[in-house]
Amino acid sequence: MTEEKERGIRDLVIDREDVNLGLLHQELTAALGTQCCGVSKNGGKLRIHLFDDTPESVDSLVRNLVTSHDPKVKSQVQQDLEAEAAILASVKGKKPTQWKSDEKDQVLEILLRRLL
Amino acid sequence: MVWHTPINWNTGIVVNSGHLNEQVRDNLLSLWQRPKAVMATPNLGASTTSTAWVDIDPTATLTLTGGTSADVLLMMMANLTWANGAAWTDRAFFRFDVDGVPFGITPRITRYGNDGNYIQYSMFGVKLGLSAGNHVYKVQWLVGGTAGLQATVSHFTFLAREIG
Repeated sequence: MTEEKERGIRDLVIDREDVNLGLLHQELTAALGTQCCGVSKNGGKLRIHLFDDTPESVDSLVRNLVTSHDPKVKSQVQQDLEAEAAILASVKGKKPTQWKSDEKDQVLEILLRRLL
Repeated sequence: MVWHTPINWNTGIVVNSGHLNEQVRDNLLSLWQRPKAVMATPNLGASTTSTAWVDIDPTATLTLTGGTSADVLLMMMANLTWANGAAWTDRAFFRFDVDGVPFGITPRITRYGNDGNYIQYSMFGVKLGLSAGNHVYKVQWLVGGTAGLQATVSHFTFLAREIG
């Protein structure tokens, strides 16, 4: 069995404090595809992780994406999670026998999605 | 401090100050003063969404200068939290890296429960037979699962110490 060689990473470091990391990850990977594997943050330093075969010409696009990033916008995953949290909150404290039919379906759907 | 081969004491040997200085003082100091480096950062607050191995943080790097070839104990402890997690199969992996080469197992930490729950995590490893001189030690991580899954590490402690 041969082990797959890891692709090297080069980091683009950008100063920015207010970031929605999950959304920025999706914005970067949507624009750059497999050239970007994610983003890390500590304090006001962002490290955009690019694979090292990504041309430097891409760097200005990355900087523009970070500049135009709006941390108040929620990613689709974050919106889904908020909707799920609202459904779970609406049935919390109620006995399952008091749940409406559509609430049962929604809760089961959420639980299945989280388990499978 | 130089290590002196321990004497096999026999009846009739007269103990003098030279023996005590070498066999007790020097050898105890040699054990006590083995190279070590520690980083303890309660407020590290490093987060990632990376799906490929990256350093936890550029500051989470230790350098040891060993005078002889040695085995080195590595230890990492951290509190781990999540954001944007949508499935119990969401996970993070950690590993040690020595001089740019990963080694050891890559334990998987699964996101049980909800985002925001703390998981206290520790990892140990022994790198055998390192040559004399400078060596650089790092901790790396990645996440997998829900797109945009975010792991955050705080209360981070990282230690490297020669043990033999």
